[in-house]
Amino acid sequence: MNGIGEKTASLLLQEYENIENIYQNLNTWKNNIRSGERHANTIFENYELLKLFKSLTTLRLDVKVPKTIEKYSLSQLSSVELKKFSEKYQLNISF
Amino acid sequence: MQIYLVDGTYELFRAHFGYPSRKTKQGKEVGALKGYVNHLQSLKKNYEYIGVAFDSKVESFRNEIYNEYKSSKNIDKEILDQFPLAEKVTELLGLTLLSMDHYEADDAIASVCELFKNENVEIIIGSLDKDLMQCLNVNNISCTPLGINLLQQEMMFIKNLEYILIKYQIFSLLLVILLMAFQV
Repeated sequence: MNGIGEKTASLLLQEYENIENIYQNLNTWKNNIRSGERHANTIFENYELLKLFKSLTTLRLDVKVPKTIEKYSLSQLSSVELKKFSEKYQLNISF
Repeated sequence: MQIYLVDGTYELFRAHFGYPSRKTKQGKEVGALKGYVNHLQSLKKNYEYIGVAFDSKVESFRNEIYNEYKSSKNIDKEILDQFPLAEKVTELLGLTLLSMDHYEADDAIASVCELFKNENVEIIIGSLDKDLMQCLNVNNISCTPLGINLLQQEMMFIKNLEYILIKYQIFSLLLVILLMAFQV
């Protein structure tokens, strides 16, 4: 957010944990921090944008991935195909 | 038991900028692919369980909620063309490929972390992407600045002194960022 630096942002996040709580408590913290009135105004006016950026940067946990550890173990490499691939793209893959 | 998770897209980009250009006799650029293969082979020597997440399509659900989100439009065609090849070689090398549509590689890595967060398994995320720091709120998950050993092995392929210097600078910078992230 324009005008809100790293220091202020981390101060607010330490106190209120997330942007939703920061927004809900605007009237409490705006009197307690430096330039609080201005920062509170910035957050009030840009709250929808803040929520949008939060949704963009929050990682999703519901991607379909292999469910057991065994599925991640190294499998036999396809030596014939790998050799062909290596030759086709001249990669000199050693295996 | 350890699972090493790789952001394949990130690795391919890293190889693209870190490795010298390399062309086949037909003129196809494969420098990034070569660097990527070297990296995977180094990992295979050190880990038994590896997952490689790849978001070849680049565009994801995030483009639907925000028009200006990163897209493939501004990505160099030379590297875009190597995406499907990198996915293919990942499987040929015997590694588990987490290929996806609509999501990004980071999301797949976070989903694996979520899945195994209460298991007796150590998860190592081979990336310093700041978004992935969201996965570090659980004890059995860590991030690595790609490992000093890997860096040394990769350097063997980079004969140009300038490249080595740049790599050391990037490595130092990444290390500082990591230390700051953990507030050491």
